Amino acid sequence: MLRRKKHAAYKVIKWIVFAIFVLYAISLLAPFLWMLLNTFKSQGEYTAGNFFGFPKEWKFDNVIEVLKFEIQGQTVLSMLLMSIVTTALGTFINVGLSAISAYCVAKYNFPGKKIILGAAIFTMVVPIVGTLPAQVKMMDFLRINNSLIGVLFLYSGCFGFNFIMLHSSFETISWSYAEAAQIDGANRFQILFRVMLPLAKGPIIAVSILQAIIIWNDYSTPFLFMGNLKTLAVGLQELQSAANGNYPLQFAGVMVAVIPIAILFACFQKTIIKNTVAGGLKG
Amino acid sequence: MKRLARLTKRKKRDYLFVALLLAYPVLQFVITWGFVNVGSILMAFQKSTGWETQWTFDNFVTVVKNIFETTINTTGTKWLNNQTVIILNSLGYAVITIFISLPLSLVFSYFLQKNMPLANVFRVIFFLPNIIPIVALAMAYNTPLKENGYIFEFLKVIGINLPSNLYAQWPTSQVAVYLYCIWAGLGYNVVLMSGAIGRIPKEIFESAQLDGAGYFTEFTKIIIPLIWPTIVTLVVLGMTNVLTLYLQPYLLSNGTTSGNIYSIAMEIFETTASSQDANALNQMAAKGLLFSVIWAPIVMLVRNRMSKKYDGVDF
Repeated sequence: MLRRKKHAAYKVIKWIVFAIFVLYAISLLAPFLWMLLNTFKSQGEYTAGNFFGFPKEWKFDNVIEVLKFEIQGQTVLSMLLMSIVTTALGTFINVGLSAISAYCVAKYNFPGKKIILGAAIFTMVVPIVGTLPAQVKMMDFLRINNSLIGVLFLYSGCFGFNFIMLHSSFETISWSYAEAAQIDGANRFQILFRVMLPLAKGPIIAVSILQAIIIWNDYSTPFLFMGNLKTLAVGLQELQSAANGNYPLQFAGVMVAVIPIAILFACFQKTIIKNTVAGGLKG
Repeated sequence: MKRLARLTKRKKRDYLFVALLLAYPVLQFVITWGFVNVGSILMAFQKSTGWETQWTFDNFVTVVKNIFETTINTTGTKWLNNQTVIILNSLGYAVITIFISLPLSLVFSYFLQKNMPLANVFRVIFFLPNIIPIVALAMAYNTPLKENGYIFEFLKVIGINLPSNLYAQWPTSQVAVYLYCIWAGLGYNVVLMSGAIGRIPKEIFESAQLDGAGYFTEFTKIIIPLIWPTIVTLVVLGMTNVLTLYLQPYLLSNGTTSGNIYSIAMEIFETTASSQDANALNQMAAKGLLFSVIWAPIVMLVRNRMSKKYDGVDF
């Protein structure tokens, strides 16, 4: 009897939690659906008071208009292209270097190997605070401030999360593949690029997608070190004041920034969730 | 002897190969970490007068003096000033992460693996804040709360009038930022915790259920001790937020406020982004260093104490 009562109580708790889940999910989706809906209204219709209904007249040119919209002499379209270029190059450089260094540390014995591994973990655990001014000074000193090269230089720092993830992947790959290739006459570079990197394709793709999302969404780095060449994340923030009051246009901007990354995520959703959950974070 | 010579030759080639491939990554690391961190510490003790650079403790003195002596107060609250509000706001990030976000995400993750209907759909939706640009997420949070937004209008119907600028006055401004952090941060924590809970062997739950353990017992006697390392990590991350979090208040307020929304890192970020004055930057370096020296040992202490509670568990 008592057990049945307890069981009923658990069912109630479960449904209450379910209701909270539904509410939270709605709170995450609703703003984007609402913005999407309003993207198709004219500014006139929106300010006239149609905030929540379907557009009376579907207007599809807000997206085109926002792409043509200029902020400090730079169109949103060029910011979109800038985002694509920065994301593609930044991801390629970062993941490429992470994979190569992870491979070296996992598969070769050399002096200083432990120091590199230790430094990678240390930098992940210990945050450095208040070093932004010094970072600006360094970029000025190297004469790469305010340039794509400078931003890519910062993204090329590869001893972090990606390094640790790929390091553990390479450790699980048997060295016998390399030995077989060696017998066939492959040199060290051929073993790395033709044998080992393809064997680690799965984790490399997962890490690349996550890195692409990080760079696409990054605000601070391009804002501080590439102010004249805005990426979409930087431009979107400024669009709010530049297109003040024209909400449908702002919402169209949000869609331009969100939809590419949402598509990328949707395509690789399983790989990402599997890898972040399985890889996880441990204390 | 010949074999040994060949081996060393091979070893030499190995070293050469590794050195070639690691040269750039190591150099980049040394420059960005060495240069920046050493440079930052040096800056904290520097003062430029015209063309010369002096070595001094002045920056630290000014930072501390400002906290107690500044009379600038745009917060709208009498007992604060524009410096103390920064410390208060920053400390709040640790409090809300540890006492609100963390328990909430624990409960969320626990029920996600309890045969909850639509669990996989929820997992994907909860992951969304991790992939959406924070600028867009901040807009998604702000717009419904503004006039003509659906939450603003709904609250109006039930008699609650939100201010037209949420970030104009303390403490409303800070509560709005904290709510955003909880709302947007939940997804990230749930992903990490579900991962940890997923690693717990199923047999443990099964045998607990045979013994008649309910939700509460299962939660407190199995889940919490077994994923303790993950909890400790999230507490540590929450505590470092005190020193590192700036983007959320910065993007949410979008330049519409003065003073009341700042955190320690946001002040450093804003000064770096807007000031050309070398001494202002030196002062920010001093501020970062000072707060790190005070706060880091506290974080380490909490971490050590917490780690000892359930020792030797790792899932």
